[in-house]
Amino acid sequence: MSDHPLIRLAGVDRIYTRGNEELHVLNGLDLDIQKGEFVALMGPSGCGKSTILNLMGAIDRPNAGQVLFDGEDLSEMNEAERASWRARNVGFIFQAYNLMPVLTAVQNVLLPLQLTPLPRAKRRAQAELALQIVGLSERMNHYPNQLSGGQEQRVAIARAIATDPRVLLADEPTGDLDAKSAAAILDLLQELNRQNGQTIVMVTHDPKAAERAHRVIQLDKGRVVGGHAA
Amino acid sequence: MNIPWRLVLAHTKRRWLRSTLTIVSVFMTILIFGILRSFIVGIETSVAEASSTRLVSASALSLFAHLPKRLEGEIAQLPGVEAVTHWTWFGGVYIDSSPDHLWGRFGVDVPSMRKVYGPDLILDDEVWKRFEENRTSCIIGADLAKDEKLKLGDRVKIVGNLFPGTVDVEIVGIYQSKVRSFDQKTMFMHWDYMNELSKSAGGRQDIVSTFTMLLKDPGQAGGLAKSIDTNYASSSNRTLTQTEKMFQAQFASMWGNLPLFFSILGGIVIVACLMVTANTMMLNARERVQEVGILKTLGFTPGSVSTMALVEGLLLCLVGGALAMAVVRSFDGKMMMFTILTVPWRTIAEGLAIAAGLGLLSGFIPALLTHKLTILDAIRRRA
Ligand SMILES: Nc1ncnc2c1ncn2[C@@H]1O[C@H](COP(=O)(O)OP(=O)(O)OP(=O)(O)O)[C@@H](O)[C@H]1O
Ligand SMILES: [Mg+2]
Repeated sequence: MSDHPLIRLAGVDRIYTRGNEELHVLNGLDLDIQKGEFVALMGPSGCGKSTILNLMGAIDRPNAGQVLFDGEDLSEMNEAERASWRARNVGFIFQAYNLMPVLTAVQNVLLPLQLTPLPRAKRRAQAELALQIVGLSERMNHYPNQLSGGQEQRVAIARAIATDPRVLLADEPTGDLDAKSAAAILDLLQELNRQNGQTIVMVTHDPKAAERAHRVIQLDKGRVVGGHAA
Repeated sequence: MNIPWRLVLAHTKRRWLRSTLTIVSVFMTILIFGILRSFIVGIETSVAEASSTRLVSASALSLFAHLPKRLEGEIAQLPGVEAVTHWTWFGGVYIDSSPDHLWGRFGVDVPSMRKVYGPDLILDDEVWKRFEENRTSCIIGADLAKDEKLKLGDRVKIVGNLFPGTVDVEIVGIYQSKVRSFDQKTMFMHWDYMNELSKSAGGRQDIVSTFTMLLKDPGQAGGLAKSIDTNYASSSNRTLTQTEKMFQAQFASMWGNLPLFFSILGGIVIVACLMVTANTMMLNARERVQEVGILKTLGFTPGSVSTMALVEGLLLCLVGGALAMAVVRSFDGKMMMFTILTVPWRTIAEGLAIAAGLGLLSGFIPALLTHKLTILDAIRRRA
């Protein structure tokens, strides 16, 4: 393990303002994610899990404190820099899959690859490989509405891993799935972590899902209230 | 900049009806613009290209009043005049009185017509000769032949109204024009023949609509015009003599404010179209909030995502505009309301520029909103 964590949240405040009201979601939060870890974030609804994930993925900024990725302070980058940083370093997986309905599976996976310097043929090969890893080689040319929920989430995972990001951020990836599909998705994430050393931070409500992680972080009201190795 | 072109294309295909309607509305708008514009340009061009080595005398009373034929001899005597010829508008009804059949038809004197206008026309020597020798013959323009499906040897019958009697003449020649100011939709027959016809039916006789003088030196046009007009100033045959260019300008001014009216009309249509396309683009943008969120999350920059919003409208508008201008271009040289529709590349560029403007303007607000939309807002709006 290197001398500093892959992701470090140090003294992070996140305050949302709604009209005159200030909502202190995170208050001086400290949190480290090591390279190669599979971490589950758990806690009651509204406690700030998604907020943490958004900060780690540079789609949100803290009001105070630092979000360091491999030692680099994300909040010092401008919008365009953060965008290309995301393209290079992060793969997002959402509860609602978030695929482009007008694109086929392989076209969806190709989207983030378009932002890489890879040549065209290599991008295509990479997209096909990603779909093969998630077990959807046969469905490459299907549109999202021709796929089951579990398959859609697999496409979303393929899209997230296609660029070989340094971290996968998954926000309730099994939240919309039946038990069987959910288990299959978790198998897949676990395999990615074990075989490729993929760092994964996953928000979940499901204790069964959390069991797959190395470490479970319990949150409440924007604070770490407990953590244990799974 | 990284633009997900495949996504742009996929949207256009998925929303094919919306895309098609946008293309069609821009198509119609640019078509209307193009036709109105080519009419206005046609008027301007006919003035700009008209000859200034020819002088035209008409009655000072109006464009449709007549002059006595006998003035011809007097005018021919004036110094500086190389040749004189005369045209007389016959009017009448060919087939029926619909505007389709109301092309120009004039009685002329063939030898002097050839001398004065011959250089502007493409017509073989032997055809000129045949026309000259046959009193009941005529020549017609190539466009007229095409529109009325007339060919050599056909007979043209026109029932007179300004002049009584029915002319019945054989087509012995079909001319093409070398200059735009001389249209290809006119028929010329012998003035002698139509004059005889009118005379024997008790109608008007020995009158002409205009005299055209070929000048030895275009520099003398002003002085000569003045001397003709002062010559007849006190008579009932007051003349107005102008170069052909000025005559064309006067004819063009007959349209009065029509060009202005057309411009306003065109402007209104363009603004109406802008409303339609802008509304469509807003609709698209509203449907794509989540998508913008995804693209930005994946790492597409605000610049490229908003450019994408701009590009889609721009492409649709340009397709519509290009199709319309292709159609408008095919109208080049056609007659509409006595005017040769004229479509230079400048008009085509204007049409495309307006189409592009429609696309950019209608996509501007969606692009701005897209640029500003934060990922958090995009994701939250889905929930
Ligand atoms: N953009 C925002 N503007 C204002 N308030 C927000 C915003 N995003 C989140 N919040 C609020 O911040 C709090 C934490 O939200 P967050 O989404 O991080 O919770 P969560 O732990 O992911 O909850 P859940 O399990 O329901 O997804 C909630 O009360 C939420 O309403
Ligand atoms: Mg959440």
